[in-house]
Amino acid sequence: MTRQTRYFVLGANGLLLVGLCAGLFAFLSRGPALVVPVNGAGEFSYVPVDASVLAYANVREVMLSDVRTSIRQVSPNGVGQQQLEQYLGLNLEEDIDHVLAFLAPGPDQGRPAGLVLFRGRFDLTRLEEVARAAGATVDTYNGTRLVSVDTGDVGTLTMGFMEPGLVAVGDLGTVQLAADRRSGGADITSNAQMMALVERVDVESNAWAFGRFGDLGNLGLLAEGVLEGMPAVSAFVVSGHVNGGLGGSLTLEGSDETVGQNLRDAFRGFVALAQAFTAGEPAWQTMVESLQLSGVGTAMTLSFRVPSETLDFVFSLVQGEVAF
Amino acid sequence: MSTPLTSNVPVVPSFFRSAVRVYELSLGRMLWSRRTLFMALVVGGPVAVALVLRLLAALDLLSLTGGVDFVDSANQRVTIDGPGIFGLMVWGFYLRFSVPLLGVFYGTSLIADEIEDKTITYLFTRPLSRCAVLAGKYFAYLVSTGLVLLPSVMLVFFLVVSLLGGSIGAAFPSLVTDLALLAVGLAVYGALFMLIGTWFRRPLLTGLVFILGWEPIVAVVPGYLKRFTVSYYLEGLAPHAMPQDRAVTGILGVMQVSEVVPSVAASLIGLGLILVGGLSLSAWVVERREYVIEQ
Repeated sequence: MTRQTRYFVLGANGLLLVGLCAGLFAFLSRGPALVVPVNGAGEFSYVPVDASVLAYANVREVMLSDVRTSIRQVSPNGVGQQQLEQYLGLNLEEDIDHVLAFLAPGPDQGRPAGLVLFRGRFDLTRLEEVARAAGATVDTYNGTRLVSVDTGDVGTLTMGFMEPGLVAVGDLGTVQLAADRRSGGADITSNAQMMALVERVDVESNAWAFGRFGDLGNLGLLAEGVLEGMPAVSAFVVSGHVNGGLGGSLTLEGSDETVGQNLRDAFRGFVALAQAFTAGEPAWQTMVESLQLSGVGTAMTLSFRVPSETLDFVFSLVQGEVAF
Repeated sequence: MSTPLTSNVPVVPSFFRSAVRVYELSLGRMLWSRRTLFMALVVGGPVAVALVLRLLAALDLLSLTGGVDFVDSANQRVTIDGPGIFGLMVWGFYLRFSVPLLGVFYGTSLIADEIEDKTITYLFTRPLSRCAVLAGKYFAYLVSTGLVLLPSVMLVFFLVVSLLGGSIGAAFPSLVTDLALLAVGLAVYGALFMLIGTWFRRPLLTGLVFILGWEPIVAVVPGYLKRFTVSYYLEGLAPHAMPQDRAVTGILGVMQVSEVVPSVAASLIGLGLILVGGLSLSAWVVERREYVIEQ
C-alpha cells in the first residue's frame, strides 16, 4: 500500500471515527427528547399514585407545527410572548420542550392539589431574581431549591427546581411532596387503572389528557350531585395531534357494556345532527365529515381530523375579522 | 555438498495472505484511478447540496420554526425538519443513486478491468487461488467505496440535521442505521455486479441496464418481478432508518412506487441471498472460466 493510499485510508477512517464519537457524545448528553413516549415520560415519577387527572403537551412540537405558523399569521406578536421573554428570559417557542400537569386530592377537602412540570431550558438565576423582586422567598427542601410567594387566599405558590431542565409549579405542599417522591415511593406508574388509560392515548398525539370520573369527586371541583347526574361514565381520554392540520380523539369509558353502547348511540346522534346543520357549508362540512365513531365493549371513541386547508380557512376568517 | 532442493520450490501463501496482498494492490489502483473523479462527484453532490441548505439557513431563507412545507400523497401539507431532510437525502441521493452507481462502476470492473488491461494473466499465473484474488478485490472495492461514501454521509448528517430545530443527538441512532444500511447496499450491489463482471462480456452496459432500466421499470410494474431487484429489499429496510414522522412518510409515499414494502426479515433474507449468491457464483465462474486475452 502506498503512502498516499495509507494517508487516505487513515483520513477517511479518522473522519468517520470523529463523526461517530461526536454523534455518540451528542446522543448521550442530549436533552430530553422532543417527543416523549406516551407511557414513558420521566416526569411520571413526580405524579402521586392517587392522581385523578393527568395532562401533557409537547410544546416544542406544537410550536414547530404548521398550525402555529397559521396562528402566527393571525397574531404575529403572540399573546404576551414578547413580555415573557423580556421579563423572564423565556422563549416559549424554543425553551420549553413539554409540560406535564396533574390534579390529585389535596390534604384539605374540596381543594385539589395540582402541579405543572415544565421540561426545557430555563434561566434559573433570572427566574429567581424576578421572583425575589416580587417578594418571593427562596428555600431549600430535600435538596430542591424552592421559590415561594404567598398569594393570599389561594395559598403559597411555589416554583421548585426539581432537576436540571425540570421546573415544577404548584402549591408549596404539592411541590414538597413531589420533591419527596423523587427519593422513592409509589408514583402514578403503580396505579394500574390510570396506566390502563395511558394505553388508550394515541401514540402519535402531541397533547393528551385523561382521568377517572369516579376520582373527580374526590377533587371537590364538581358540585354536589353533578357526578350522580352523569351517566355511568368511568373515565375519559382526550388526545390531539397538532401538525399537518389538527387531529384528535375523545374516548369515554362506560361502567359496563350497556353504558358503552348508549354512549356510542348518543354520539352517533350528535354526529348526524352536526352533519345536518353543516350541510351546504363546505369548510365546516369537511370537518364534520372527518368525525369518526368507533369503540367496542365499554368504550366509545370519537375522532376527528381538520385538514390544513380548513384550518387556513378558519384562520382567514379570523384574520378578516381582525382586519375589519 | 548439495543444497536442499526445497529452497527452489515456490511457497504458496495461504488464502488469507493471498487475499490481503491482492487487496493492498487493488485498493491503491481503485482509489487513484480515473474513476476517483467520478466517485468524488457522486458523493460530493449531496455534500454540496447540504452546504447550500446550510447557507440558506444562515441567510434566514429557511424558516427556523416552521420547517419546510410539502404536500403529501393525501394532499395534506406536512412540515419537514433537519432529520427529515437528512432521511430524504440518504434515500434519494445515496440509496437510490450513489450506492447502485458505485456498485456498477466498481463492481463490474473488478475482473473486467484486468481482462481489458490484459493483466489478468499475471494474476492468475501467480501461485494464488483465484478465489483469493476475487476476495481481495472485493474487499478493496468495499473499503474504497465505503471510505468515500460513508464520510460523505457523515458530513451531510452534521450539516443538515441541526437545521430547522433538529437535534444531532436525537438523530444519531438513525445515522448509525443509515451507515449500516449503505454499507449493506454497497456489499450487495458489489457482489451482484462482480458476478456480472465475471460472467458477461459487456458488464458495465449490463449493469447500467440493470440499475437504470430494470430496477426502475420493474418497481412500477405490478406483480412479483420487483423481487428480482436489490432496491426492493433495500426499500424494506430504509423506512426504519429514517425518522418516523408524517413528513418523511408522506414524501416517501410519493417516492415509493412499490405497492408492497417487504418486512425487515424478508429484506435481510433477500439481501443475504443476493450477497451470498453473488459471491459464490462469482467464485465458481472465476475458478472455471478460461479467460482468453484478445491480441
